Amino acid sequence: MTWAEKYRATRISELIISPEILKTMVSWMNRWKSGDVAKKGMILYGDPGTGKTTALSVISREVGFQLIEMNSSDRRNAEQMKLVAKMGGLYRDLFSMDDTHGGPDKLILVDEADNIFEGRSTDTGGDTGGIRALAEIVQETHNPIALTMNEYYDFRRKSSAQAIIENCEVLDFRPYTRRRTREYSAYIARVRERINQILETEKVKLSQEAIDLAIERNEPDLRAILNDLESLRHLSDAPEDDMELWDRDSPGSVYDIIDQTFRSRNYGKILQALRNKDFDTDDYIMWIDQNLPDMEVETTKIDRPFALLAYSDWLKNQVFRKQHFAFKNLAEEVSAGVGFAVNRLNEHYFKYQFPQYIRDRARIKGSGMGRRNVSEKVGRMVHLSTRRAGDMLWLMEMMRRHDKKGFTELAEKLYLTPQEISSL
Amino acid sequence: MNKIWIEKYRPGNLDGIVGQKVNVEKLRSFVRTGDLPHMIFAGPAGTGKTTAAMAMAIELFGESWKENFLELNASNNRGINVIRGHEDREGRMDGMVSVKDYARIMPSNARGFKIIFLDEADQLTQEAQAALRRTMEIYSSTTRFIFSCNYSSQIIPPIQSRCVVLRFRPISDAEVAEHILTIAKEESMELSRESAEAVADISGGDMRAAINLLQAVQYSGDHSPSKIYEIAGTAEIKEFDRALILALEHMDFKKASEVVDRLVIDRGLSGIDIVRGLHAAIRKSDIEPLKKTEAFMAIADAEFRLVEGGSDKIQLDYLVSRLVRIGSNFN
Repeated sequence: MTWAEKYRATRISELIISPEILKTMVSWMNRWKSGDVAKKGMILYGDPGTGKTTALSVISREVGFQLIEMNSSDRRNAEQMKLVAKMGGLYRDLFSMDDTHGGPDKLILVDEADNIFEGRSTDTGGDTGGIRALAEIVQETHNPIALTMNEYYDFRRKSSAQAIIENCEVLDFRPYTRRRTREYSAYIARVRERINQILETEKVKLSQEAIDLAIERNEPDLRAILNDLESLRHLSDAPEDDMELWDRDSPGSVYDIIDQTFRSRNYGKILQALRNKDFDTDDYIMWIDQNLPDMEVETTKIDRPFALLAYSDWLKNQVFRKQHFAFKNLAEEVSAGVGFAVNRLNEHYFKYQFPQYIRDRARIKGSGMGRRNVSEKVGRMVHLSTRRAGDMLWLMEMMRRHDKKGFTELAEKLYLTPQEISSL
Repeated sequence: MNKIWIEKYRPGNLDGIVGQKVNVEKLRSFVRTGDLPHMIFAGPAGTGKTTAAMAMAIELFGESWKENFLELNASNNRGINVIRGHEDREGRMDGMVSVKDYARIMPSNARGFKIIFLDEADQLTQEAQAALRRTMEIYSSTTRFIFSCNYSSQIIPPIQSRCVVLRFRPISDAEVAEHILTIAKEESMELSRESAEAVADISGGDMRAAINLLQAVQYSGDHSPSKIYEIAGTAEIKEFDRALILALEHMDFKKASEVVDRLVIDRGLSGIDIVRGLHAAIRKSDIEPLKKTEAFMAIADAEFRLVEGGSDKIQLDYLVSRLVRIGSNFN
């Protein structure tokens, strides 16, 4: 079971939805219970993964309804619709006890109502007359009926949709109405809280960056956020400040696995070792990159192992970009094979080096940022992007050397910090 | 007075724009009628796109031009946030004005509209451009958009169809040289016509590059054409040549990749910058055609991977290793 399913909200207090929407939904259901119905149906529309279905099922249960669901995996033609509606109690028969309980006890949920495909043949949908039947049902129903959909505006254009809409309370199901509001911050805070609970329960540690990235890329789709994070559960982090941690030589350490990658003739064993590794695939690739030039004796054919490494690097970056998680394992598998592509191995080399590139980058982080900041500030002054203004740094350097007074004036005008100046 | 010459000598009106006669005439006619279509300014760097937009805003709005002219650079923020607005993880604003926010504000001038100038609009993602389309429609009564880009073809068709396209051609060498002489005179700098022509020749119709070069030449003290060519051949270009020779001729992977690393680490170049630098170095080198072609293929692959989100270090190492291989195949 995926995290998104496993940790689906089961109580109203766990729902991460707008309080406004919650209030409207509860009062709509309560009116049904008390026999004071204004609109018979309710349409919830909005982005996928924002909790429309979850909210309906949780709230309806707490208010005291049994949920009868028709989702798009069922055929939803006119006949089917009526059949379900009948079960729901639309055509009440003599045995119904609803009245004695003060109001109906079933709520009909038509999930993904924008996907009722009106085509006649099964190829084009086979939901013939589905919408018209739905319109009739909504008009006559003696049970609350809720519709969820992503594309309300498309739905609205369908024939007969107007009749449905007239009888429905229509809710734009957004966890927040606008960004930059308190409401938005509260929503993000709740999402974080939920993620942390899940990670704690699952005993999984993920870096704050990974969590932030998943939220940023996907919100308001909570389901996608959780799917992303779940896909990362096996990648633990390698915090940059903890470089010292690498200098351990234990089974499962990076030294051990790099050694196996280059020396083992057993692909399965390398892959297995990788599964137990306590560092990130990024670092694994960087370590191979660093040590490959020392391991390959035939340096003019070093493009062969590098081809594999570069391909796996590319794959790894597609995981997030394309949201295609199968690439994660493939990236690992391809990088684990680099050793087999080495043309002739340096048998005497064992002193695996920490990737110089990571060290350098950590070292210059300050000054590199300095240059970037200068570019940004200059760019703003001369109406250029940060990137293009980078082409002007050499001029700044010359100016600093040859026109001290002018440069000082300029630096003041640009509010350059001492670090930024020294980065030039 | 601004210490950076390209800003100091940026013309404040349409008349001051060099080498864009047809475009300036069109813009002047828009100013005269007091109304503006949405526009795309397409053309290479340093041909006056930003200057023209600003000059027109000044002529249209006078003193209040700054309140009625929003300049956004799509390359600094390529995503949909530049259109819809953006806040950081805590929900605070990041200080950036989004297109949508600005478009909502009523214009504070008698013309009844304001201008949003989106520089490097070709850098906007497809999603951002698509989001823009709707914004253009909704706020068209009070907002005019000017998109600046190198190639209009990189702007999605629905936006193109709503715009008048003005093409900015590279400025002729004669016009660049003339303008360079004028600035040199302003700066009381002794510059011969030959030197001005050298600046123009190097700049290839890019006035910004020409003026930057002129300022650097002034610092150097020596204003001769040969010195000018020397200054223009920046350290980086030499490093690219060196990396290329180390890879293709010496077939020394470690040394070549070391040169590349230094360009990234010490000079702050991005992976794409490196690929393009190597590309230029290959193009002008006199290696045999088949070698060259294969090197171009390696360049193309690297560029593709990097654009698709590969990591700089790994992809550059692979590129260098391929260049080494190409070098060895022909020896």
